[in-house]
Amino acid sequence: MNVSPILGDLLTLTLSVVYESVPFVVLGVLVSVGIQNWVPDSLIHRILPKRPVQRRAVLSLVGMLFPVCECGNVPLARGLMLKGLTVPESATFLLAAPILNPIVIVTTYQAFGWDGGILIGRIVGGFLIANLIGWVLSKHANPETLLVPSFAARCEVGTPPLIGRNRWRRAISQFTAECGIMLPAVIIGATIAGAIQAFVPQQALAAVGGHPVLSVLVMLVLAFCIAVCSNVDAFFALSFGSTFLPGGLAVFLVFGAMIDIKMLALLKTTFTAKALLLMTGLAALGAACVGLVINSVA
Amino acid sequence: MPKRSRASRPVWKPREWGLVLLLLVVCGSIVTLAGTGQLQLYIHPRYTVFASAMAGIGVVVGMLAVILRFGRNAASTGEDGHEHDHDHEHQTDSGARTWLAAAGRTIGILTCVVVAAGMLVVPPATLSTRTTVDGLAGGGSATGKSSMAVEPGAVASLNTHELGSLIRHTTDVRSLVGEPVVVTGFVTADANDNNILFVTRFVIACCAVDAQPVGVPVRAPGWQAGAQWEPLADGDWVTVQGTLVANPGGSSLTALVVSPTAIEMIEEPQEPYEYE
Repeated sequence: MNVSPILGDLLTLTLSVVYESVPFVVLGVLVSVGIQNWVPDSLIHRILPKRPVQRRAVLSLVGMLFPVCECGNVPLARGLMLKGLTVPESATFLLAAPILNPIVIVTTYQAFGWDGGILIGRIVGGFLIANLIGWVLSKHANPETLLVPSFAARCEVGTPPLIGRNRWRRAISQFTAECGIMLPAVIIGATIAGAIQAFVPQQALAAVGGHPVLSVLVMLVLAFCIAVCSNVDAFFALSFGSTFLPGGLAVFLVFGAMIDIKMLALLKTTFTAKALLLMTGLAALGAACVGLVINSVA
Repeated sequence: MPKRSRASRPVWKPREWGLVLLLLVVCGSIVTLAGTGQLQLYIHPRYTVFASAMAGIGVVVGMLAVILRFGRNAASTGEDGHEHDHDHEHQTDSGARTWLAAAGRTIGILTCVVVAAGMLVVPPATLSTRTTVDGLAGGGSATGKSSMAVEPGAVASLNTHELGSLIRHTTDVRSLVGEPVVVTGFVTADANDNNILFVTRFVIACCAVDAQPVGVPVRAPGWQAGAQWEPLADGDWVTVQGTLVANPGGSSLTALVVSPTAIEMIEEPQEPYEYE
């Protein structure tokens, strides 16, 4: 079947994001279903500190144990919420884990080493922003209202314990149900990201890469539009290394790993539009601060 | 033994069947593409094993779910459907918001159907060359490390994107003059100098969405008309042999170009992309 170049590119770009994301989603769903069915509630609450700030700080480092990028972390965070984690706690985990995981740290180091403070900016900035957003959400009078009603209802019910064959049957059922929620979100997000790639020339943005403020703003927009996996986004950012200031690159690596078009589609399965707007605004603001600080120091 | 009543048997709604079908189509496509070696048209080969393993699990569990759905004991396991997605918003709103939500859902479903159909019907394809027009404007490559050290004589072993990066970023032009090179890629016209064409490859860090065009400039006056070689056009795949020389002039921004001794038209190779 012959399709026009632009439609062919749109399909290729969309499918590439889908094929790249879905395996991570499947892995995230597997871990999530495993936690829901085989990890006792008490274990999670026993391991985590009691004080909210410390609890969120520890949760934001849990990404170290799960080398899964942002797509896989959404089902994982949903599973953790079904096990009793609060909205601010899961949001903190969700935003920090795609940055504070070993694969991301290693690939960022491989791409940039210690140059321009990009690696440090990404790790420290990601940790601080995720915890800041968690703290802000914790100040909400009723954080459960930040969840879509259907998921909030599921969190209330939780996952009652089952044993033996029934547990496996339920796990299979949960797996398909969770994939059924995630897949349309991935496809819709990927289609939007693919359309932006197909129709908007990137090089138009690269023209302002040398400006200390504009480079930061442009990279915020680029990170939001181009849904690149956080596991390897450093290599992609490297291609802008010669045209963009380090602060701009750090912004791309911090903000893009937390929020992008594909992630928003995924997160919409769980959080309300208002909550996502708040999280996106704070993440963008925080990432911009990281970028501006790096540009002013470098 | 009393016959199981029809009402006690869990029933999947069309939407749930559709979602399981979607899971099977997406994961099945990944497994098939990995099996035929075409998954790398979309994602970096480093993910092939991981992607096919996870997609394989998706297919197996999806099929188990279908089998269980038809199983006699499914209703008694506690998986009575309440675990399924209830992510539709509760219908408390009315008027415009309800209409908008319905329109959004319809667009979402259509998008999923079109993309799934694209997986099944449209043959796997690389990106077209149309995206290189901006990427190569101004000469050189759009990607690459800012510094590359290459031993004399090792230039010939570089692939297209490494050579493109080297030419673009080197500050020691004279040390590279006279180095023999062999490059393969598709033809892209230089936006500034019609005597120069770029032998171009897309370089992928993660998946096709981050593909960056990288080109090696070749000075071949009259290349469109086929003065010395076969006439070439944008998008033609070629292998070029030659040596690096200082760009003798013109308006191209590149300081080094390949002076070709042979330009051979070829079919698109099995691995059209290069990878970071």
